Amino acid sequence: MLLKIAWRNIWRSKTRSFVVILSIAVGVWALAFILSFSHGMVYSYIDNAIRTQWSHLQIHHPQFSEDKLAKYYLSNAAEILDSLSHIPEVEAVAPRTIVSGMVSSSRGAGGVEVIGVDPKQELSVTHLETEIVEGEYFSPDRKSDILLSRRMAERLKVSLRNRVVVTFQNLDGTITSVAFRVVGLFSTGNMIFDESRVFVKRETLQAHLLSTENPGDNPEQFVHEIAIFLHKSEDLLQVKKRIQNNFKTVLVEDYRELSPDIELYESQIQLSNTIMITIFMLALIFGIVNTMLMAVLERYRELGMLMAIGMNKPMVFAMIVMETLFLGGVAAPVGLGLGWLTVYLLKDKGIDLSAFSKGLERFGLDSIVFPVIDPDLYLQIALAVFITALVAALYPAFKAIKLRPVDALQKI
Amino acid sequence: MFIKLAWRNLWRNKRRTIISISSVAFAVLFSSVLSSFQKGTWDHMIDNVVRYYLGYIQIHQKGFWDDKTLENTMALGDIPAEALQDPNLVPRLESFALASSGEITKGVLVIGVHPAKERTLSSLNERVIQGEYLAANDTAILLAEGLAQHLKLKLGDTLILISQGYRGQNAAGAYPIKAILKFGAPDLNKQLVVMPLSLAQYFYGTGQRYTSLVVHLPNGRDELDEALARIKKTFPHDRFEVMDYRQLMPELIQAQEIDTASAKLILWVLYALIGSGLFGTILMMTRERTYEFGVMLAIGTHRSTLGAMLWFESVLIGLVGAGIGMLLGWPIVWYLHNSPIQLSGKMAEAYEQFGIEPVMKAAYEIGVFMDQAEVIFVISTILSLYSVWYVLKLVPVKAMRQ
Repeated sequence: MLLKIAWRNIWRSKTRSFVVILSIAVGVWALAFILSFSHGMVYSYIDNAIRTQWSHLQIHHPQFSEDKLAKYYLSNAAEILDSLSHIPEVEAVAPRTIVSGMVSSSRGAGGVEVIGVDPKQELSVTHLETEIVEGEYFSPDRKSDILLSRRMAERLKVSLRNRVVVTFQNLDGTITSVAFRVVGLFSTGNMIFDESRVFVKRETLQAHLLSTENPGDNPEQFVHEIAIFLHKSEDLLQVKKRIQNNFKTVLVEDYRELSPDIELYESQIQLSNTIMITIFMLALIFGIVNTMLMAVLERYRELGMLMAIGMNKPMVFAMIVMETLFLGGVAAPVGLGLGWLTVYLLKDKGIDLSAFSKGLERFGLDSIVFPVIDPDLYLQIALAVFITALVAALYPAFKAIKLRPVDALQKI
Repeated sequence: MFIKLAWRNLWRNKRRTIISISSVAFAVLFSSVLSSFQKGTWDHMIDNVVRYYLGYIQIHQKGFWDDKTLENTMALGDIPAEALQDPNLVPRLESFALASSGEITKGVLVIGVHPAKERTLSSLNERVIQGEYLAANDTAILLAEGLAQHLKLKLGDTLILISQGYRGQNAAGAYPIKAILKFGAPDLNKQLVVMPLSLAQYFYGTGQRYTSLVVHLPNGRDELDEALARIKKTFPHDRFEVMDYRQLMPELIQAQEIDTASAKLILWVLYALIGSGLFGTILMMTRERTYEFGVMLAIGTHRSTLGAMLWFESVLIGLVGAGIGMLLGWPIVWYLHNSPIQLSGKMAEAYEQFGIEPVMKAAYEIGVFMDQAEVIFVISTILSLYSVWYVLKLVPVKAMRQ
């Protein structure tokens, strides 16, 4: 009964209701779109970062992340690798040998991390091959293949099949220079990643880690990093705990710990969502309060009459609140629908920001953004509209029940 | 006359006016603080790089920027004679090297500077946190703080540098550390080694050659365009390239542009919402007062006077709201300008990874506030068009019959 009255009331003044509904709908639409957009941007970044850079988990010598020195290798790498192959949640693992040094050509030089990988195993973890834009991936037989980023190649002024020299300090402390031949150029779209890494074969790098052949050392052992890719990222913490329990002397870290930027993006996006929703809703509140207030004051006589014929105060209060909620209830689905439609239309094409590609690349972001529809987000927005309408209704509703029927009826 | 009327009309319905004014004040407060913050943080970052390292304008041998090798350097003899006399041209020799402390090795950026000129250009001496600034004939180096930490080196220790010099010569040397420098920009703090120009020229075997001439602008950005034009005349473009800071760091400038654009978008949506709230109010106010308008027209008020009065009412709401928003925003912005927020922990680490100094600072500029006032003025004028249009076509008799 009360619901029906409230519903009819809002359609008595069509223009007024329409203006309120329109402003809420536009707000919701903009909000849904902007949030879908930023989610698309951030999640593609995180996804990319896990796929191409960090994997889900990495194992290091505890000191390695602080000082990337060749001497901090994993002494029990073989054992760890063996145990990992028995964990069903693990999809793939890749052992790596890492030294920091300088790569130079006759025309330029740059400081880099030289990463020695097992070509086959690396493929199943980082899909490095798919990032190659020119040339090819490691060949099975040649030992001196090197993969550079396109940026690095431009800096060194080298092209495919040119020679570059990698200089680093080996385990004995001797400065060693090794010549490599460029076979492929990669580009991940992340400037920092691209500028700081070159890839060579692990066996080649290992062979140069000791300057003299020492029969006591098994070069197979110089593994500095084991990257682990899981079937499902939900298993992350459980697998991490399990490995850490088995091998107490090594450091197991997940991608959040490895990459502060992922954590930053993840927490920032939550924070900025909340801020955006709050601000938009605050902006809407003023409009709603004003409109409802007018709706109440205009109907003073009518409300007085209703109360005089026996509608009690809680009922009047509830009626005003319901009217406001109805306005929000009509507007929110319209806005969300429009938001969904916009995202849906852009689903395949994305939004092309390549005019800003250099700036985006600096932050590791793709130039084409595909907005994503996150049901959680829609729920949050719907809830926010509900709360907003409720809060906005309070003042006008209080105003309505404060009136005295006799006074109200006497007016005009 | 109509101003007085407009003012009184607004206060006939106090509650409504106050709510409308506060909605505008909220929008202005929020957007002026956000814009100041955003502008301040970027300006601070870009200024830091420009003032303490890059300079506003750099001159190179043509082709150097695309191919930064020592072969593309300019000899002393190449530089136009009149430029040699200019004290505001600061020469540098920059290249890469592998730096080693014996145990730890890292690729670094070596920059040979003119110690006295660099003092006025980039206040390099003020970056010293330990030890003493360079003299022109020192055979010592200055090391950035982050790099020193990484290499585990202290003041007075020796740094070994290995690189490839001019025309493929071998370059190697060991130099004592005379001072530790601290830079805000992480890119510099993690990889910079500074030495006197003559020592760098000796180390790389270049003789009297320079990679770049950095132009010192005593009045900063204000004289950029003028200086650019002047320098382009002195340095013919067939032999030199003259670049301003926007060309020298396009990534940062683009990142700023996109961030500014997205903040603008958000503000536009916010204003659209506030605007539609105001529109609702104006719409109802106009309808409510139909009778009154009819009477005013009937007793001889000009339609234009009535329209102006309505326009003024709406602009007044906008401007009073904007004024209050500014008054509230002002102290916040002022505070954040004088005590910027220094991020710490993981957040700071992540910012540094992108080469951004983890500082958030507000810009204290009247322009940011004026922009908001302007937007509000335009919006309230546009919204008042409805009520103006309404009274222009109003028929008094009909209006009064309601």
